Amino acid sequence: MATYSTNEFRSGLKVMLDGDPANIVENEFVKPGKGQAFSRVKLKNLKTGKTIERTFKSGESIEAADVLELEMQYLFSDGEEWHFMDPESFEQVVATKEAVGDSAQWLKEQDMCQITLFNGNPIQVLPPNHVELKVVETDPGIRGDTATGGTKPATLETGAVVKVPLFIEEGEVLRCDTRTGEYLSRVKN
Amino acid sequence: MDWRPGASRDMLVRRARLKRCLRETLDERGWLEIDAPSLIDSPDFEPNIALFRVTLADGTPAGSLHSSPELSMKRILSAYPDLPGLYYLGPVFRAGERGTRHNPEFTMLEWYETGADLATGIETSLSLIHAAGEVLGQPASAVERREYGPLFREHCGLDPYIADTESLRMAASEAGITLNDSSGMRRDDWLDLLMSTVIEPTFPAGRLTVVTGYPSSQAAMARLETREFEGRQTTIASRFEIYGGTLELANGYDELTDPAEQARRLGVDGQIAEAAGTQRRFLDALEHDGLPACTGVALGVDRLLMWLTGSDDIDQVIPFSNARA
Repeated sequence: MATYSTNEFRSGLKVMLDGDPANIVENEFVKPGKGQAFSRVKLKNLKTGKTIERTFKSGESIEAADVLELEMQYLFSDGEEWHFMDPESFEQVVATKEAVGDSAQWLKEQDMCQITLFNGNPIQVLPPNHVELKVVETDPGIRGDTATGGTKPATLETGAVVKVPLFIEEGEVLRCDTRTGEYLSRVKN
Repeated sequence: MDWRPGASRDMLVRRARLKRCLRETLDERGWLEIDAPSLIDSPDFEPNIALFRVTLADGTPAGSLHSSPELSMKRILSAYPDLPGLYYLGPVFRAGERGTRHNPEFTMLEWYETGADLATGIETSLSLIHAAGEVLGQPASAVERREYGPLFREHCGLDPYIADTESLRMAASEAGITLNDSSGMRRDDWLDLLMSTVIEPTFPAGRLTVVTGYPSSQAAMARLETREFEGRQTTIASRFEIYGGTLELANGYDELTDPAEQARRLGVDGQIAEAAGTQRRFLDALEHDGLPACTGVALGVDRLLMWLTGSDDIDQVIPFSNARA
C-alpha cells in the first residue's frame, strides 16, 4: 500500500482521509526554530467536495488514494446516470448524480471530460474548461448594440444559464468557460 | 525547467546591502567575524532538528552539515574568552524544513557577546534589525515586549508552565486545530503547536514582538531563572525570540556555561566522556577552559530580508532556493 510522508505533501496529491479520497489543496509547513514541526493542510474530500483542515506532525505518513484521472468521452444521460467511454479501450463507466454534480449543466454529448475514478467508480466529473454550446432561449437580440455593457440571461442547450451581451440571439453558438460559468465569445459558423 | 533565480535583480541588490550592513554594524563594535565548519563530526543533539548526513561516494560516513555554528563558536570563545564578541554569517542546513518560510539551506547570522545579559542581547538584536531597516529604506518598527505565560493565558486560557497535555490538547481543539494523529504528542509539542498556530498569527504585521519567559523545558542551551507567574515561583528559560509580524526572526539565550548541566541537556547524562565528535570537543572546552558568560543570538538573514521587503515567500529572497537549486 503506497503512503505519503508529510515531506512529500504538495497540492494536487490524492490521499485517504477518514476513509474517503481527498485532494491536498494547500500545505503549509510550520515550525518554531527549536520546536516540533507540523504540516497544516487544507484538503478537499473528493466524494463530498467539502474542504477540511487538518494538522499533521512532521514525519507522519498517510495512505495514498487509489485514484485515477482519465479523459473520457461523454455519451448520454437518462437523467439518473451519466455514461462515459474511454476512447482508447472503449470501456464505459457510469457516474451518479452526486459524482456529476454541477458539471451536468455543461455536459454535451461527444465532449471529452476529466473523470476521477476511485476504486474504478467515477467520483468526480469535470467538463472541458471551454465548451461551445447553442443558445436555446434568450430575449430577442438588439441589433447593432455591440458596445453597451448590458447583459441578459441565455439558456444553453445543456441547461446552463449564462449572462450574455444584449446582441446575442437564439440559435447562436457561444464559447463559455465552465470554471467561471462565464460567456467568452460568439462562435462563427 | 525554470533556470532563473527566484529573487529579482532588485532583491539581490537589497540582499547584498543587508549582509554588508550586518557585517559593518558588528565590525564597528570590534567584534570578529569567524568561520565555522559546515561539515561537522556530530550526532544529532537537537530533538526537533534533522541533520543532513554526508557520506562519501563509497558509502563511508563523513559527518553532518551543521544546523547551527553554535558548538564551533562556543569553542572559539572558550579558547579566547577575552574576545568582546564574535559572529558568523553563512549557511546552515536543516533537513526537511521546506515551506514559504523555510528552506533546508538558509543564511544565519549568529553572534556571541561576552559579558552581556539577556536584556543586552535583545537590545543588540533590535538595533541590528533597525540598522538593517534603515539601509533598506524601512522606517523603524514599533516594538512590543510580551511574556510567554500571559500570551498563553490571553489566547489559550491556560497557564503554559503547569497545564497538562490534556488541557493543551483541548485548547488546540477549541481553537479549531484538528490533529490527524495526536499520539506521541508530548507536552512541549502541544505548546509549540499552540504557539505557532494560535498565538503567533495574532502578532500584528509591521510590529516587532519580543517574547520572553519560555518554559524551562524549552531552554535548549539557555540558563534557567526563577520568576513569579500567577502568584507562583516558576522556573523559566533565560531566552527570547523576536518576531517581525508573524515571522520568527531571532532566537537568543543567556548561555548556559555549566558543563555538567550542558552534558545532561545534550542527552549524555553528565557522562561527558560518552559524547563523541564535535559534541565531545565542545563539552571538553566547557569543562577545561569554561565558557565566559555571554549572550548568543541566531538571526535568520533570509527571514529578516523577507520582513524588511514585505515578501511572503522565502523563494523571493534567495537567489536559488532548494526547489531551484
